[in-house]
Amino acid sequence: MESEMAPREARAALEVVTDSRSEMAERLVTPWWYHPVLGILLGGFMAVLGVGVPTSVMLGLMVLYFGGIGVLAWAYRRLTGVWVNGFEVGPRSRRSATRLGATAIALALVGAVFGLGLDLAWVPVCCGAAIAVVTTVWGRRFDAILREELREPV
Amino acid sequence: MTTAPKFDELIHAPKRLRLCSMLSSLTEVEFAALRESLGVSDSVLSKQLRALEEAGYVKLRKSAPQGRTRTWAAMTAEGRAAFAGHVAELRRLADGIAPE
Repeated sequence: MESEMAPREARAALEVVTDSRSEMAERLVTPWWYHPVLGILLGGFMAVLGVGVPTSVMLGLMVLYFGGIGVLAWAYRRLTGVWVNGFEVGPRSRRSATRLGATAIALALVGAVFGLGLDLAWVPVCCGAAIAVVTTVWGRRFDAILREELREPV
Repeated sequence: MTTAPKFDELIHAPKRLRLCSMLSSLTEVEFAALRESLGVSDSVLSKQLRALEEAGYVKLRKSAPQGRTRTWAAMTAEGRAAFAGHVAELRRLADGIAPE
């Protein structure tokens, strides 16, 4: 269907779209504890993987890890009233999330190689701690990029 | 891939344009957050959401793990495509370009 709208009206409608997206950006205020908890869960899990534990312990830790991630996501939704897939908003946030994931995987692999291959348990522990710190710091930056992208004019 | 401009009468209604803009920017938004952002009553928001749901543009989900039921709204793939087409058409009109 074709519309007979004047350019001025169309521009006003586009402004409404941009303003509404900006309003949602204001809601993306992650609680201060979210990224540290996420970092501890992720880093802790990767450190234990790298150190090497019996299968039964590993299964218990997996339940704890995935349960923790679920509770964290639930708490975020409940507090903010929104949920966003970081890979869907825009190219900058997608790149940032991909780089964060790649960095965490690289650190986990280094920890696993030194921990499981060379029996140096302190290396995966350090890599786990690094993952926790990187997730905390990078997570905040990632949130800021998300908000910036949502505020961009359409 | 660029979206083909297509004016959507259902989306263009003032409240629904704002609603669709909000929903398209995020994965899922809770009813109360939408009501607060739009500054409308429960009944007005329900009516707008129902219209979008009937068109297949929005999916509603209820969750009640503890206490009161919460309703979450998410845009479907069809809704996102229609919204992208509508925004593309608004851009075309804003630029004063003749339709192809």
